[in-house]
Amino acid sequence: MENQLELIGPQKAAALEELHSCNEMTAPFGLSLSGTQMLALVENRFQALQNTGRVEFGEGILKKLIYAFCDSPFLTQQNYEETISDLQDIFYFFKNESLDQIPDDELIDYMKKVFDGRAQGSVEYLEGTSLEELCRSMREGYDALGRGEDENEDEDEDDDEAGDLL
Amino acid sequence: MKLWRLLAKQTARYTMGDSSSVPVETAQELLSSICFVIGEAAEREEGSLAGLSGSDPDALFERGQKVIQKKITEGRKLWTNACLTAPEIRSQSYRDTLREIGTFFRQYDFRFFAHQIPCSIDYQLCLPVPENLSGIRYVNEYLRRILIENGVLHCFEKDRVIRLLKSCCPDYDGLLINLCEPVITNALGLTLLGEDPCSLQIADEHRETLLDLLRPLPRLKRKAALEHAAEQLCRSLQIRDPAAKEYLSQIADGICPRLSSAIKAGDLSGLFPSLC
Repeated sequence: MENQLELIGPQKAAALEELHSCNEMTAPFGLSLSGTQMLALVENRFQALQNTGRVEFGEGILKKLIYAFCDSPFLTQQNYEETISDLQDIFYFFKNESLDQIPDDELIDYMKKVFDGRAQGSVEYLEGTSLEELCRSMREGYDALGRGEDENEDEDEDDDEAGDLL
Repeated sequence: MKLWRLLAKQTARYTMGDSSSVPVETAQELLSSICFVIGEAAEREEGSLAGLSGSDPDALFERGQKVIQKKITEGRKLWTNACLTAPEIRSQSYRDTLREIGTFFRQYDFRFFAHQIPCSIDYQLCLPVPENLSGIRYVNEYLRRILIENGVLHCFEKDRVIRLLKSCCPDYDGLLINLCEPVITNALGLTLLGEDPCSLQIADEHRETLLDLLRPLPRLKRKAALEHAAEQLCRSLQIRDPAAKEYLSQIADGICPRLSSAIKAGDLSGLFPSLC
């Protein structure tokens, strides 16, 4: 337990410092986080990681989420903290659901597009429909994000070496 | 803390910067791999893990990876030799296992999962590789033992070996049985009798003589008799490799409990079968 606290303490401090720097960037959009709100978001990060069985070593995802969503027409000072917290929760959840096949930046991009588009600012819609569909497609092997990557499956070389030697 | 930072670096390398987080299970596997790699460096430098507490984990990790790369090269050679010296005796599990080990060298990810063994190893050895070995260490040790067993099998006529295997198990080809164990057991029995071990044939009268010879002996003397027979067998078969001699000695030791049970039952036919 002491070792865990030793590890989490510096991470929390670093996360809080990052959120402080985010306020400067979001100020033009009329968004800012109070000290209490920052603490709540950071605590929620570790809770979300624990709930989803994930581990994070470096900076978390909060800064990227804030940078991506701060210009959303559906984000206001009133719902800022709660929305970012919910987005963080579903972000980690859907990293698992997508079997870690979607890079962070692409997932955040997708979330932002849907949040501002079809979801019309609804995190519930984002979570319950679009992200579910996205992750189901990923699991079934479809290029759901339209990346157009070639899926070069490893060829089963049928152990030519062993065949020659045996 | 140093190990934690190394784990953080490895995780970042593993995700190639695409993900800030990984599942706990992935992190655990990455950590196990780090510990395995550092262990390889420690062993090479003849230090204990405790003694390395002041060392730089990054440097140890790098050195450990180099050690593992050398072991992979060694392993490929062992595998090639194992395939080239495979006995000409049908055994599905033997061949499947050698093929699988071939794929191991393509799939083994020493950078991130050095402790894993990404292949199925079904063929049972006379003496199983200790479970505490992992990764390339396990595979290399397995291949060394296979090579010893191949060498022993080549000392006997193929037809006699097949007849013996058939009498032990008619479907020896399809089942997961070891090809070498019945051969070594009968060879040891014949050596105890002062007969030619290469014949592999143990008849009823041989078993009677063995029973008379071994029944009066206490357990430790039986063990000593088998160990002595193993040494004599190595001389008869011109086995000079110390590792092979030690291997046969341990197999002889392993026969003792089964021998004691068979002597108690008064029937050695299960342990020393006749050729069919």
